[in-house]
Amino acid sequence: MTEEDEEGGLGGFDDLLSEAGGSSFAWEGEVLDGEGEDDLSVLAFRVGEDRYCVSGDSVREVLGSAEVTPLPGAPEYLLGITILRRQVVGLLAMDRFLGRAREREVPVEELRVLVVETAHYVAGIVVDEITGLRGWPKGAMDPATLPENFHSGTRRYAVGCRAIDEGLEVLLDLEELLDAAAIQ
Amino acid sequence: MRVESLVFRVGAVHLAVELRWVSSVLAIEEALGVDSLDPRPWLGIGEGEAPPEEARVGLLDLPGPPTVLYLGELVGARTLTAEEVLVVPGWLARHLPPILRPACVAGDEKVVWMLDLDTLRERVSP
Repeated sequence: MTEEDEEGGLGGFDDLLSEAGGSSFAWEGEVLDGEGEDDLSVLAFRVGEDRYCVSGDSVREVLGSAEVTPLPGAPEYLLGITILRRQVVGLLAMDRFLGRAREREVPVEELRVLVVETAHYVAGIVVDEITGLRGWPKGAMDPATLPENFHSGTRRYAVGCRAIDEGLEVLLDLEELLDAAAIQ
Repeated sequence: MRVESLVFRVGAVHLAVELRWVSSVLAIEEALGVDSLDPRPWLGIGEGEAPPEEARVGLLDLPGPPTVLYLGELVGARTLTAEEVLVVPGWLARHLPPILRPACVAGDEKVVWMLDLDTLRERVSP
């Protein structure tokens, strides 16, 4: 097979990938602005029986559903990818990643995807339900507030916790969590 | 820029290989005894699984002894352009099998992964 040399001609996958933008996003390395208020604005959600929050600043959008394509050979906690406005977004199953057993598996179409953006990552966190947007007191941002018997798989990513009606709500350090998901 | 490619399906995974490397498409029976490159083990698909009846292989236009690439089900030819290539972010790419390039294209509600034929050759014949 011959290769066309003129502009717009045939080239290899290497050239195609190079022209398409290499292997990094334009915004990689950017750092989001910090929170200046007394309370941190957080988005709360439920995964199985567990309650979590993440900084509202890191949430780009919430998807009611997503077309999921499995990532060949990926660990079980990576459900796959979805394509969002021409961007490949990896989908992280929180319960599997944190080692939290479920009483029942929830069909993919019933799950919600929290698209989050941190300094180094864009990812989709797969959750059961969004439970609210609220303030998180800075005083509750202390890992020492976690009970001693707190689940060890989650503790590493917890910035703090507080009691709510449904039990314990844990504020997560997304960057730390996605760092770990990236390298495990 | 555009690259002519051959799209095929192995298990549930859609893959593309550069068409320039494939000189012809054959039924599996026609390539018995020929050296074979098989992406299935890298994609979590059991080598022992019987290929579908319509499975094909592609005779590769490469130096050395005749070699075929396992194609599974042939989907068709497709011209890929840089505009439609979607780059897989680095943290996800680390989880991809080495025989896939960190990029894909979308179409007809399917994601097509780009096969890295060089790496597949290296891994099969170190």
